[in-house]
Amino acid sequence: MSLVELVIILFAGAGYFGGIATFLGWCSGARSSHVLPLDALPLCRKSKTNRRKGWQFFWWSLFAAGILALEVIATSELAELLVPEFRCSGSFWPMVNCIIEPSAPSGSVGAVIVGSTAVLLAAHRYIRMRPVYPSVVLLAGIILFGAITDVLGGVGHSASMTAMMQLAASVQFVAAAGFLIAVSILQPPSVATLAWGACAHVGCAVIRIFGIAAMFGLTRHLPPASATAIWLTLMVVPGISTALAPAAVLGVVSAQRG
Amino acid sequence: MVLLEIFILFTTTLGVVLAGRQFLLAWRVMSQPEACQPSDGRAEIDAVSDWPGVTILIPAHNEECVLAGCLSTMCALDYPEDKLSILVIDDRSTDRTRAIAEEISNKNVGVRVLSRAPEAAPGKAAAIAEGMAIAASDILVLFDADYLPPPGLLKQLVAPFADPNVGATMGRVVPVNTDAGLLTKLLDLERRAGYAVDQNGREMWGLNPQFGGTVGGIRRAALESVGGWRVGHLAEDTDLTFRLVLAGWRVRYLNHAACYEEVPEDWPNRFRQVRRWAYGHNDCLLGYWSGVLRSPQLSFAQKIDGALLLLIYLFPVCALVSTFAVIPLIAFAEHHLISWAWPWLAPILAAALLAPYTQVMVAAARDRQPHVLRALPLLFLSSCLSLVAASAGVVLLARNLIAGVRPRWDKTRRYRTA
Repeated sequence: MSLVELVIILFAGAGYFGGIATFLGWCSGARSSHVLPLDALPLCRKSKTNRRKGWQFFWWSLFAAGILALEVIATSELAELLVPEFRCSGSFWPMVNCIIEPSAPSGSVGAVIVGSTAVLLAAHRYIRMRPVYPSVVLLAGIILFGAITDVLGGVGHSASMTAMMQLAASVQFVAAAGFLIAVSILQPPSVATLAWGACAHVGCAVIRIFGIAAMFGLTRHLPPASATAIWLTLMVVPGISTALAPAAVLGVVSAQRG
Repeated sequence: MVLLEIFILFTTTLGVVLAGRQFLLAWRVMSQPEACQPSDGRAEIDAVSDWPGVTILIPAHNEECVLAGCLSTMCALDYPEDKLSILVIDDRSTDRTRAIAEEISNKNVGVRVLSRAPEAAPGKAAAIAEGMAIAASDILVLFDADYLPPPGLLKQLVAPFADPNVGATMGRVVPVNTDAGLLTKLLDLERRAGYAVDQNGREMWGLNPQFGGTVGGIRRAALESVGGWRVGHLAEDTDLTFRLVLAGWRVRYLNHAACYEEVPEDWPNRFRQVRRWAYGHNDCLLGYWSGVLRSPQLSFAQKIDGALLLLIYLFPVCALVSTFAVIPLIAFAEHHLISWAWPWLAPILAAALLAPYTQVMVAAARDRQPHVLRALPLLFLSSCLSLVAASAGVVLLARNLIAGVRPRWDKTRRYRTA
């Protein structure tokens, strides 16, 4: 791995994990206390609804499709920039078909084992300190399983970049779908509120692109099972989580604006 | 290897079908024009001229922290005094539960206490069965000892029994301790989706909502016609639901009949709760799945919904196994079914993941409390826990079935202080 590539991976990784942590930290500050008391629970309040006309769904769909296309193009372009041997024959899921010159990453198996074990041990310590241990153990377990599978399989070839790229495209696809669903359900009462949701979506899309770049740089040096497991836990799970950013932001802004 | 691939494809199909069901229910609730569907129950209440006799059963095992608060709200319920009886079933408590119940009973003639012998069979179902034997009313209403019903709730739960086909009613459960921590906020979101969308959607579509064993009423005749409570079952409520609907009784869900409960505040407690539910629910799957599909009492839609409902706690273990299995398959095998299907499977699966979140969004929108969605992106933490806990429940069930061992009842811990 060249120094430039290492710097890019570190920069992108910092942007990704920093962005994810900041976002999830904001989410954890949610308050629900004014659900109480029960008699004030507006479960049956009949107030006017903010129904939008049908044509607006068309614009939202168009907007989501545009965002999705831009995200996938940006992702594949960035991946090609980061990995010189990497070539994608298509720029849109699912026709995307990426190839990479084979490398011999079997030397990194040991590092993956050590790294995964460290993650699991850290998770074990986390068990006693924090309440989210089942999730941490599950995700660390998946990574460790990937590493063990590689060792047992004695694999010497690199991860399938096409599969990784399709995973990345899927995450972006879900994010666009999440944005569309959130807007359709929450029906923002004003353009300004909708803009907040759009900003949240675009912001999280940028964070995900950082993550995709970092993961591409990282996993091309890993054997396939470890790479797949790392993608599943470090990219897909937070990816799905950030796909809900527009819902979270629209919810808060809608509540504040009555 | 081929079997593994078939299993993964089965899991994927099941996940997509379950997600499709969740999307449909969300759409059904969302498409209802009024905020609270189908009504607030006022018309049903006004139509009742002669209220039936009701016994409220409150099984209590070491509930000294919450019982007094619960009983004080029970005594304030709006219902004809001569028609209402409250029976606290002290289920082998070793704390002050019995003393508290007797103290309140001495001050309120409508409150009675039944103390179970220390050697009595453990579990909520056994306690309720014993309480039912001394309750004389036609309608029995069940509450857990941590519940805090508002005054109008009882009439809302009892009014639908004017229809002789109704065998059971079920109200909505609302967490009271939502701000206790991250877990309670996430459980609040899950409860909203489960009740305001899933149960409510099934009620709207004329499917069979689930009787939850608490905040619910049951007609004695219906209960007796299906053989009473199954003592020793870990999901006695689900078990009863399926026996009722297979016998032709109707279960009604009443979204407006909302009642507070405590949800687990710590993750190990939540783990045990989900494990218990998964154990009992899959026990029901073994017992009723084919019966539901072959029942002449149920419509086609009810059969499909019932069968899918029974599969809900089997899916997590399938998903967990598939997640682990897919890693070596994608990584190693060059030409196999999964690699062929992967470009299509990945986005479909990912879109299916949005289904439960969509239900939460719909519930928050319908409740007009969209601010709670701020915690939505963290819901995957709770989902991971449920994945592992439900899988543990399935493993435990399989082990006990093979060994012929009866399950052990795990009591859910309470957090309120007396």
